Amino acid sequence: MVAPINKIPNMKKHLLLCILFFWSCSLFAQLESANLNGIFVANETRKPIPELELFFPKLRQIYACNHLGEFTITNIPYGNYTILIKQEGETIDSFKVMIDKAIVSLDTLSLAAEKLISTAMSNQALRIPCIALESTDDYVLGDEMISNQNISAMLSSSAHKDPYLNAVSYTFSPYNFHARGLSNSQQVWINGILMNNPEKGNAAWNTWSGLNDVFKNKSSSYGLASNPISFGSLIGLQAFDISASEQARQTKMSYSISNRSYNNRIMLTHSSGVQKNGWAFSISASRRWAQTGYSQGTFFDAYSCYASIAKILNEKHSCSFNVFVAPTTHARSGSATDEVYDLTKNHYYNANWGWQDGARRNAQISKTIAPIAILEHQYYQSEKIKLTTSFSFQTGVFKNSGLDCYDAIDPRADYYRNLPSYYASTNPVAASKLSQSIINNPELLQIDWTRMYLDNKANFETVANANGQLGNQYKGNRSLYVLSNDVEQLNKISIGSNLQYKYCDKLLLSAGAHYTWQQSHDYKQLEDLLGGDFFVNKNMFVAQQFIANPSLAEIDLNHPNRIVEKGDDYGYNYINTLHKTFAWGQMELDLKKCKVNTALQIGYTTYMREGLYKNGLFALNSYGRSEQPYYITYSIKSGIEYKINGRNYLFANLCYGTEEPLMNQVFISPRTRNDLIHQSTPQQSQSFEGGYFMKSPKVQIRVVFYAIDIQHSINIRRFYNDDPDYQSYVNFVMQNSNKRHIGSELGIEYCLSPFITLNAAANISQSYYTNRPKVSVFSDNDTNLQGGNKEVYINNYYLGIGPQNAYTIGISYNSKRYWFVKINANYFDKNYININPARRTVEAAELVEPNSLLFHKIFDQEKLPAFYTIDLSGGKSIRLQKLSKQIKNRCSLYLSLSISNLLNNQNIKSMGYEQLRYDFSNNNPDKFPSKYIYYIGLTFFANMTLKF
Amino acid sequence: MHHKTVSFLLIILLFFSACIKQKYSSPESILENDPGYPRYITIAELRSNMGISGYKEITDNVVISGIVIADDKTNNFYKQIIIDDGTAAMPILMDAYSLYNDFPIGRKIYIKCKGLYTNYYYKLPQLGFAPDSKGTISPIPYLLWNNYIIKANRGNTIEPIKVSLAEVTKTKSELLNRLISMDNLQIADTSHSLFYALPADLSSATNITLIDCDSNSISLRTSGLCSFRAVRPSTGKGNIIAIYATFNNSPQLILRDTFDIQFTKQRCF
Repeated sequence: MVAPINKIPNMKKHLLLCILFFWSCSLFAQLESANLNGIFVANETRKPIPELELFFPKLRQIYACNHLGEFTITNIPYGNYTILIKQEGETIDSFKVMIDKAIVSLDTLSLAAEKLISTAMSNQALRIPCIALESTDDYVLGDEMISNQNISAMLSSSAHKDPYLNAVSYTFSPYNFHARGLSNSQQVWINGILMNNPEKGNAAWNTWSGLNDVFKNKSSSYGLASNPISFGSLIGLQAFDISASEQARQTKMSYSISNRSYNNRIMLTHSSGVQKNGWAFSISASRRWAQTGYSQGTFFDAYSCYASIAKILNEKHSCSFNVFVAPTTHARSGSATDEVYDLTKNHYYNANWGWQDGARRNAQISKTIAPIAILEHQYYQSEKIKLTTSFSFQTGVFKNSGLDCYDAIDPRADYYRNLPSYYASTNPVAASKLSQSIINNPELLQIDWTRMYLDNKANFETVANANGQLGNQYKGNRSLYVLSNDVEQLNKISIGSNLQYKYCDKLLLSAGAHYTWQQSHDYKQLEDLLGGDFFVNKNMFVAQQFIANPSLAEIDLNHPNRIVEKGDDYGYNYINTLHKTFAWGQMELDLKKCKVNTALQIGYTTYMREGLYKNGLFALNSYGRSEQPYYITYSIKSGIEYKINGRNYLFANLCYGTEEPLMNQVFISPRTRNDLIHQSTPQQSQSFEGGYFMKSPKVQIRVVFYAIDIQHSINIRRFYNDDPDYQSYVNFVMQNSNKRHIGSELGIEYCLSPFITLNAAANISQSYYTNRPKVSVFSDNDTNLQGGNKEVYINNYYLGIGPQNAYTIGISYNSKRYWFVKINANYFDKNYININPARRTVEAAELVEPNSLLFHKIFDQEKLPAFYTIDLSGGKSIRLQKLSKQIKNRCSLYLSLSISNLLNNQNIKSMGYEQLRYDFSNNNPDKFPSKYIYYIGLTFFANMTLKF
Repeated sequence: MHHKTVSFLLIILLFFSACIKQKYSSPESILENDPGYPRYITIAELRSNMGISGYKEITDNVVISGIVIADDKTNNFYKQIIIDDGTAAMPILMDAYSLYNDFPIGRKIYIKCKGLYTNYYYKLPQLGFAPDSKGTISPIPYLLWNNYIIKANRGNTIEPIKVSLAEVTKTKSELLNRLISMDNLQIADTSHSLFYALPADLSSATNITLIDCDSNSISLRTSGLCSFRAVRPSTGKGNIIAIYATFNNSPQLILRDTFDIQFTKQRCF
């Protein structure tokens, strides 16, 4: 059969146009074209494999197979092709084909089970991780916010063929488990651009959350494994390709309902695939929302948008332009002490809300809008050379709101001085009366907005010499309480280049260079005057302490006594600028019996703070530019994989390297001054991993041992200390701490029958400190070093990074009729709370009898109770043509449901931390007790997707 | 295609349909008006029920009301405000700093006394919460304010009671905690009294002796945490408005703020 003759002139016309516009084009020189068809089946069961995608690197085109594993591709120019088979965005196999006649029928193509993603999860649309990509439950740790938003997406790509990683991504991560005890350090790339924020280390997943449909093409590597995309990190990397040419032609609509951070999600995606003229476009949009999330007073309101346009210029050049944005607003919940949880009888108590205008108003709102544009060019020379060059620009705003007050009653709803425990030792009667009142009316522990408004409205004041003008009197209601935003205005430019050179079949050389310029303007912004007329940019604590010298209380001496109105900056105001460059090279040698790889990376990073306020307390070192510390880093790694036979492998990887400290760990107190911490040196690490894996049609096993040693790490924790001696933000600087992460990882998947699969995974690990670092405490309200340079005895204390032992066992049934059900039982242990190093000092031990009960209470580290959970998921796909002949063949409907914590256990403490404030005068560890977060009870996520 | 369009439109409609409330109207100031509660007893009556020493729980449903005559704006009063209803005055112990934002001088409040305690603090009457093991009553915990205290209108005025120093050199019980005004007073020893008070880390409070032209004297006691402690009092003679208090049997004056002292005239000696 020959392609319809009448189509040929059209095609010629298109091609001629192409040639005219792109004179270098030679792609379509071959004018004859053909059709290719076939069907994929599983090797063992002969069952069709649905939802695979075929990628033609030469044409830069991607095609989707249908529900029954069938594919029919039309208009392929004659020639030889290597075709990559992709599942869920990841290449799982490849084959070669020669198109030399009008119709090339491949008939049945069989794929071995071990190449496929876990059979129980073989349907992409049905794969719902326990927490979806966009989940943004925030954990508040002191005043540092840790977000677990990226947990599930982490590693999930490499998870496909690895039963252990599968368990980490979909089962362990939602329970605050961190692979190898490392958080925030996985590299995330999008089309050749490194997305990790060099200031904070993490990748802001919420800037593209909700775009799951188009963020599925990814390659990843776990641990120290090599990857031609980048040198990687201690925990590996994940690289997305979101260009339109990577999206199969498809329209997708989905609706989900859940009781997690949001209740509803709608996603719409349409991708054109690469058209005959070489253009491809893809758009996606979603909305996720909840009036109330899992805990009271939280809401979630997020949109996301994505557009990509790609053009295959010729067989050598292609380029794409991608933009995406995910404006998200959500109300946060926080941690609390046992006392508060007990009083309110609610493990999801949220101190951030209070009644106003008949609704629960939350004071801590996070807003993000940070669009990113990425322009990418790819150059191919046959299949030997691939050069990718990318340029990206991001601009955006991240806001986190909170209450602020000036000479007023502390507005925090669970302020410790208001709780019964504060009275317990001095006045038990008062304590018990107070407890009873709170038990009868738990809403006493919510924010009292009305009181703040009414006080603000009545606080008439006249500010003399307002705005620094002598004699200028400013009259009105001065707000005692305001709602303020911590604002970060980000501008970021990145340029990245990646070269992959296939010297021969056995040797792949890759190299890359990446540069980032980032500027973030950080300031406090007045969001709401809460009924008042104005606020004054002054430091209240200093004003009260240094009565004789009022200029010390000026937050900005250049604009003294400045009247602050809604939208104005106040409090702190500075610009952080950084340049980060690195380059790397890698060699991967694939010999008959073994694979060897080695890579080297060098980097250069420099930081600068520019203060925009001349702080009265730090008049000489707050305004203008800081010193510019720079860091030269290097890393080297090497690995070997030995093939015992086609199914059994041994491997070992080693890495030694240095890494610059993060920018927010270099300046003592960027909010007030330019001072750098003393001798900030790059962190050093030595890392080893080695293990065995087996891949056979029936069994997959992975056993890995790892050890990571980290030295000279810097950790600055900042929090508000309302001790009468401080009453300010304090910066708790711990330098030169050493840590060790060692452990074993085990994953097994066993196919009992073509329909039933058993899986099990375990992680047994230890992450702990290995030395006695030094701690210094710096106050934002005091020019003196207050905490000295104290040695803290934290050697052998565990890191508070979630459960260090995790186990799961599960069974899945995958029916012939396109439905599956999977159940997992999980067990977690050795979840230690984050310690307060100041409690492990000589001072804390003074006057305490060694080995007494009190001694152990102060010094021992609390281990949270072990717990087990059960997760259940299931799904079905329906071919709509069955219902009505009028519906096209490729139209299908996917239904899925996942339930986590099926037993609805609401008593699981998922994380905890000791408050950094400690009662040295009485050595009473209960005065500022630890705070915890409970894992959410039974939650579900139900999804319905229509694809056509 | 038609179906596609319809379903697309439906979904887009859903997309924008769910609005999340993020705007809140501000509470009305009308809440600050006097609710006009019936007053059951006067502060004088309350005082007469206190007994002569120690603490005592109020077990009856009694409501008092009064106007704030002293607050903690300058930190000279600590965790307390004083109310006066024209018959007597009473300090109300309340557990928070910056009470003056909620209970500024001139604000009327009602107090539902049942469950609260009266006490003598070194013979000075006060009203507060449950007593501790030492027999001292605690300030009312912040979270329980609404159980006991009803805020009413602000901006009321209270005239100080004019007395002469000679009348009050021996503790005058009915004047305790009340705002009094005395004329022709001056600092006794100008050479030593440089400031109202020493800093708190040296002394929790400092006494300055005030005398009249007949050499009657009384202490002016100022807290070391007070915001005007570093101010030097004027050395002239004149009028003072202050809270009349006692420490055991020694009467003392406590200043609300420096504008209450008008020592502008020439000294007697």
